[in-house]
Amino acid sequence: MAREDVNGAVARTLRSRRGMRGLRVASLSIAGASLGALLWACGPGLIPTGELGNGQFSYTCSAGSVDTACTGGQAEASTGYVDPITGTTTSLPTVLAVGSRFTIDYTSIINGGTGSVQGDSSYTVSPASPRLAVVDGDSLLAKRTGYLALLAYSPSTQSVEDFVFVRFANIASLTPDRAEVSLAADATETLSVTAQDDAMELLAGRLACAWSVTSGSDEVLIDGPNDGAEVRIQAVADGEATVSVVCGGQGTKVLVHVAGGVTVGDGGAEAGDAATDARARDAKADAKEGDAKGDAREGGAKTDAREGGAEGGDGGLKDGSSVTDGGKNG
Amino acid sequence: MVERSLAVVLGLLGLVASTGCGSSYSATLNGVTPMPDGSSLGQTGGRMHSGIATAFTPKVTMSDTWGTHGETDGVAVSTSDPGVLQVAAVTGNSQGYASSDPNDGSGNGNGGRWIVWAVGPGVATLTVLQSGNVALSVPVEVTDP
Repeated sequence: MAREDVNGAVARTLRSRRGMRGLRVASLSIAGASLGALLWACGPGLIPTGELGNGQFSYTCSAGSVDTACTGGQAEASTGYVDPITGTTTSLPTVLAVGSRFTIDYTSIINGGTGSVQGDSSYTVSPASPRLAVVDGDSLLAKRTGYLALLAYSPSTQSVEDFVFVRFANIASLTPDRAEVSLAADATETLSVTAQDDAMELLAGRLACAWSVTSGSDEVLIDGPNDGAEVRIQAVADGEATVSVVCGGQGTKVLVHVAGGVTVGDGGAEAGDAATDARARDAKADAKEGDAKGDAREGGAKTDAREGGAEGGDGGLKDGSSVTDGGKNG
Repeated sequence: MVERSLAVVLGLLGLVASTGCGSSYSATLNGVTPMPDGSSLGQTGGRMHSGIATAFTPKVTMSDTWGTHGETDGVAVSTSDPGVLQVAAVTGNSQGYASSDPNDGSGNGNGGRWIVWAVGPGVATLTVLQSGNVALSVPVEVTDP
């Protein structure tokens, strides 16, 4: 009888433990599911793989490159997971500007996650048509509107592991980060523009632009490269200047007011004089603001800047060859 | 008597040989992956924009006097003009939009999937072959977007 009681107690205990274990398993399952749901909802979102699900195409940002799909030289964090080593994201931009350059890498996700195509660790990311994009150094140069398939191609096996589509659109408008800027003489400032298509969608890619000082070149100089979406200017003398930019045939202007600093050819202005001058010029600038904006809309400088040749053009390769991406495939 | 039997055997061999030569091949393009801009590829023709690619799995069938059966070995796809249309085998697994048939038994590690992409304007013929026999020919017109 006592043995039966003991057995019964043991059985009840086991049942209880099984029940507790079941509860724990159920709780863990619910917690796991909840965590998964939370990560899905708040995480980086869909991880874009190729159309065939064999690999991942990643947009790559290089340090110093100005691209709306990148932030501070890193791939835009908001669009996906950012690899801390490579700086690549798992998302591709929705649409890229015709005339822009961009870099997309491929990583196989089959064969253990970082596998290779039949033993070949080297892929190329090749545009399906040189009419849409060509290889330009380690980048691709978008040439024409439309969709383009990028092929993860293995030269050694002459096979394709996966592909992905990107879309190109013409630049319909440019938006400067500021319509006008005030600087002290000798100060420097960085100006930038972003590009939109005709649906006002922000265009990614490293834009090919031409910046120039279309008026007031005695007051403002361009300091450094003038062929991207960003330019550094230096104020050299009090006055006003217009800095113009053209990207993909579209242009815009930034009005620059320079005041309150040391002027060129002047050993130094007294502080009181400079301040007075600055106020006077501010007032003068305010009075002219409407005129300046009107000028910017007229597109006179746009034409001038176009002459400088902002188009990305056909400078790239013509054979639709590929960009080697051997380093990303483990 | 022996001569008559020999004649019958030879006749049967001839019949077998003749039926072998009379086999015909056909093919379908299965699992054509979506194309984002309205480009299309079907059994009778295709219209694609430059830069567009699509993957598919050709299924070849051979018909002869013994019946109809699928052919999995020796299937290849070619193009008449690589300047217009290019084609390559797909390596890798069968995930993604185009789920290849796991029972195709091709044994080549790619599920028998191929990819075709439009290079430039023109017309090219996409041909599915089985051991050198033409199973399907699809004219594809490529235009710029």
